[in-house]
Amino acid sequence: MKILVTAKRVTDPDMKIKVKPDGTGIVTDGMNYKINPFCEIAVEEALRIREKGNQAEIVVVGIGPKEAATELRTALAMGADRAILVLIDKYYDSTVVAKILKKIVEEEKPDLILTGKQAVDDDSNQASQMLAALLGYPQACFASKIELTDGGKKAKVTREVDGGLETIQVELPAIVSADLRLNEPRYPTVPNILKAKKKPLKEVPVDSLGIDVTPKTEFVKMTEPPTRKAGIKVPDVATLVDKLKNESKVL
Amino acid sequence: MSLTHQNLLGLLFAENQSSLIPTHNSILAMILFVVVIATGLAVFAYLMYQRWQILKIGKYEDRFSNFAARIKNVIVVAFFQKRIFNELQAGLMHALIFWGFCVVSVNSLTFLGEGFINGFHLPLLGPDQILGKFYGFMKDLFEVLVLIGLIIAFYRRLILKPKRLTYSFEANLILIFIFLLMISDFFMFGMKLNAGELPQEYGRFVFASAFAGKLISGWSMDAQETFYMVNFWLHLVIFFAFLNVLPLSKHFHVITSIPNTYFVKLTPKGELTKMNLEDETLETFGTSRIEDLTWKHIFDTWTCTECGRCQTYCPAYETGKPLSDKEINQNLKHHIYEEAPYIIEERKKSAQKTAETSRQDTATQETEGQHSRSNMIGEVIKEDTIWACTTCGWCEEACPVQIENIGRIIDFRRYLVLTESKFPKEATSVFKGLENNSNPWGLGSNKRQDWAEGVEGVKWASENPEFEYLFYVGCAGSFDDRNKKITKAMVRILNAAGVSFAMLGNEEGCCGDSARRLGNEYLYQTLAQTNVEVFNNYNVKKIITTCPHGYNTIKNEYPQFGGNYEVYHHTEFILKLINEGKLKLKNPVNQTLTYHDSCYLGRINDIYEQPRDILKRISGVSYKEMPRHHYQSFCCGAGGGRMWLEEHIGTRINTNRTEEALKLNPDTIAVGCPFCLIMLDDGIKDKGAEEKVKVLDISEIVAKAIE
Repeated sequence: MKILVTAKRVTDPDMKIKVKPDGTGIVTDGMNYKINPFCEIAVEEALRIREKGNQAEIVVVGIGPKEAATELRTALAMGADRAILVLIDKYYDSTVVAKILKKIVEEEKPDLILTGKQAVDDDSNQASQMLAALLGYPQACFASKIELTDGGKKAKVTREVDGGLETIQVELPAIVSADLRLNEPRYPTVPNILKAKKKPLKEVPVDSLGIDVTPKTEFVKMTEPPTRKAGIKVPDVATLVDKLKNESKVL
Repeated sequence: MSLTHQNLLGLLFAENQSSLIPTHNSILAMILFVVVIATGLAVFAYLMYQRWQILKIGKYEDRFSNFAARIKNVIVVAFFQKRIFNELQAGLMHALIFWGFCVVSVNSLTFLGEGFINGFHLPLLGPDQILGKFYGFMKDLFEVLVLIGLIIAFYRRLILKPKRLTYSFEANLILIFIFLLMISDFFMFGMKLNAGELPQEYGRFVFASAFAGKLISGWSMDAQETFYMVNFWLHLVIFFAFLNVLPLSKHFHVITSIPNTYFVKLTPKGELTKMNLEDETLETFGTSRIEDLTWKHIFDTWTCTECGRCQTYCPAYETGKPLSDKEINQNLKHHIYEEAPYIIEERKKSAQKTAETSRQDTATQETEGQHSRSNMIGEVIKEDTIWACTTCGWCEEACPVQIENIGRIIDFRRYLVLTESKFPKEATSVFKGLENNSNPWGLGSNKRQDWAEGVEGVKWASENPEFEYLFYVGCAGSFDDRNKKITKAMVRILNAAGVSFAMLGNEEGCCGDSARRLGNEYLYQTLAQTNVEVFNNYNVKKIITTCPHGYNTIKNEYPQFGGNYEVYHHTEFILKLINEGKLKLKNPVNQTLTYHDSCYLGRINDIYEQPRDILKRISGVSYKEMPRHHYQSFCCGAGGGRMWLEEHIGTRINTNRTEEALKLNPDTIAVGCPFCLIMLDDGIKDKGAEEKVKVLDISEIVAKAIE
């Protein structure tokens, strides 16, 4: 079988994010990037499916600038077989991502598409659902457990929903998006890091895909959250109660 | 002397008599004598050949260059028994026996020579020559000293029974052998004096032999001769039995120790080897099989004689973790003995095959091996053992024969991390944090200089590229709230002393110490290379660090990456400023203080006195020393990357150390390391003593004294 996994390059959520004064985006100087943690979980799951004895080719796909190859190499070092990087250098939203992925799926014809449930930079949580709609494939979002059944023709997926777990079965080909507790991604070994350097990574300019990449949304502006005001020290409990009553009016 | 030989061997071999020495009595005795020597030497040669074959399995490592330094080390450590005397009683015991061996070995040659030639002696050492008389005296003196050493040894093994020793029949047998060798020598010389084969005057020099002779002077000459023969053959047989027991037992130590001190590691104590990670032909990295060990690693296992000094102040062993370096050495040694024949056989076969068919597929060769080998990691050395080490350096500092344990443990970790990706779960976030943000906390690398907000006197290298000293703040000093205060204190001190300095801020990266000591050499090399590049771009020559871990790796390991700097730990630097009159300690600090030696400052880099000197110069300070201090200091538990790992087994190392400090009732425990500070701070909180006792960095105490 063939498993297609997404690996998005995201700004490191541990970094201090600063919005440009004109609100056109964030300051990228000295910014660190990494593979979207949910995508990393998806890659890991693909590897585990293969390690359970399923013959599988694992293709990892990324969308972004040339630098996004770094994150694809991470996935290759973890054990994916080859990578596709769709190069795009203008603003795009989840609809564009879904359209690009649809094209890749049509070319690659994978049996299973694994994605992260959302990317930790824009937190859209839409691309995999849109992709399922475009392809007309069954989908299972927020997977915390994936099990291939029926000789690899179906996938039984446990989903994390509010207040509990839901188990559904989908027929392959299908799209499954990975949630946090699906697995703990491995740390690549050095032999695999060295091998990853030689694994094929195909760069595909987005124009060559012959699709309309006009986003359905328009970027307007980005603003920083208001900074918290410094707290004050109060001398005694009475003052505190007084302030809570009269100043903040919470009592 | 004419004797009628109604006795033992003499009766069998009787010919013309002129000597007490049985081989002179008959051809048959001579034959027997030659047979014993030849057998003894042949077996010994065979055993040593086997050992040599085993040694050749190990990878090559240069331990031959710098002859002068090596010889000096042999003289100091082996012949002067420097490290042995770190414990007086055991030291005396060992030194008496060792020195005795050195002196008596000359006599052994005489003994063997006499078997062939009547009245044989080495040049200048005849019983009527001055040097010979002197040697006779020395021989008897040292043999007596050996006996005293043996008494101490038996007392320790049979009565005192110190915890660190391993008790075995073999050890007692060796002591009995030595005892018999000494006693028989006394009697042989004594009887030769009695029989007039040695001049009477010589008896004044070989005083103990003369005394032994007197004890039996009442015996008939026949009885004495019989007794002589018993002693002669006993001495001979034990001599060769002893020689051959050595390579077969832990007492191989007797043969390998002196060479081991010659082949000592001459690079800095805190420097780990640099791995070649570019080699794509390698399937495994790090040590997981005997073939991955160097010859010196194998030699080390032979040199260990289970004295157990490595355990005494080992933080892991002392708090109940499954780590004992003497056990690692013994287990490895037995593993090597079990597997070596198969490895040697396999290598022979593959050498033959490559000779026969030059294009032999290596994969098929490997599958042909019938013998299934036990795993060195997991079976022989447990993973918990490998991860328990804090790399504090105690075992290597304590080992009287300088066995190297830490590099080997790191090599095991390297295998687990680099090849197997198997390590304690907590390390994953550390590795990823270091990878993405160059600090083990994983906080954004662009938050690194946030501590400086609102701090006066901060100087960044990017704004002041003309500086003399780079103040390398380090991860703890940049990201840990408690340690940020130390960074600020240091900035105040440097400004107060008018030092030309700058810091890198967000351009700084993690030094890599934790990554390297957790076995992640790949990550370490990336971190070190990045830092060296940044340092060199600013043309950095001198560096000050507040963290002994950064200090160690920048000073001792960055040269592997082309980074050569004059590195100061801040305690060294502060003392220098005080001595130069640039810092004035004006204010008294009326406190009782004790100082906790950081392993990477003390044992690993020999900085013991500078921090103490600083404290003692501050007026009002009442200084107290903990029982375990200087090279015997006890680790806080954070070294070797253990800072980031959970402590699941045994009791907590930091609690052990904190309790020791609290017994002194100090107001402040002074430290010179951010990790020690965090560990001891935690210990104090665990003990509920945070109201009474503070843990402060030396720089914080100095900052109080200068304001």
